[in-house]
Amino acid sequence: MEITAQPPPRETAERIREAVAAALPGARIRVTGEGSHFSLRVESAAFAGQTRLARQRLVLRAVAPLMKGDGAPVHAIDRLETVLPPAT
Amino acid sequence: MSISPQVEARIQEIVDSGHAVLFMKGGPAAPQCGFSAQVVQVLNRLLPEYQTFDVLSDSEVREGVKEFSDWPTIPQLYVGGEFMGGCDIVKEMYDSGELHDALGVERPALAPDQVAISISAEAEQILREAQQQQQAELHFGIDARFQPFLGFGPAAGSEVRVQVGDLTFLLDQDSAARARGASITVVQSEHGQRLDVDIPASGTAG
Repeated sequence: MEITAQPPPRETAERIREAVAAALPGARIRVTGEGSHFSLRVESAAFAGQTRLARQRLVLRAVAPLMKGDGAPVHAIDRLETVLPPAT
Repeated sequence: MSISPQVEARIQEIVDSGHAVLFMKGGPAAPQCGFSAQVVQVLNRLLPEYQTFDVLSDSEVREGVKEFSDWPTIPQLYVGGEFMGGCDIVKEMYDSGELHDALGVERPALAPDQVAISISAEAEQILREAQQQQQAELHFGIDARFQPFLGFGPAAGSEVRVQVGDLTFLLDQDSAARARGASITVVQSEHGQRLDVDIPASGTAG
């Protein structure tokens, strides 16, 4: 019998990072967490002038494909911080 | 993927079924997910009644509402037909007072020394011993139906701290406003001792 193992959490975190990076080019992204629960901190100029809801939507829309279905690698984003880059 | 017009119409009907409508896992008395439970806890502080829809009871709505709201997770809160957000946003809106405004509930404004909770020596001892066992903060809540709650857990950081004797109670702002003059005592019942909370603001004794 073949046993399919769950991908290790590190790999899932990397997939989240890649998905957000593709949606928000140039963003600084930090993914922490384990198992199927993760926390995200995203710093992006794309958040300028956006409401909290719109900012979170931009990020969650990118992660959504990883959260679909019962066997999804990501069950929840426990904490999502969306910040603007510091002024230069 | 898009949802069928039938499912969309059903979800719209649910959204329109009340001023505050929460899509959650389980019911408000027994949430089946920690995030749904947290939103229920916040709403209970503010509203004596609100609408909920258990997405576990309906797989079409469970998947459909994610497309409908363009939001990948449950819980989801709607107020006046407008999507507010999920657990994170609801908690942030509560702390900032924006949720009070959206729901048309007056923001409580008071200093911790106005709260004035009294506690009998017996009740204080029970809570002190329980806290030593639990090694956690002591939370005291009074929801919008004036149901009291005593329990242990980590602090969220935005609570009002009220010192009573050796005990420090953590209350959310709305509970603090209702707790003025509250007294905690021990009553004997046929099942043994239990804590009783009297809340003058509820307008009824006991």
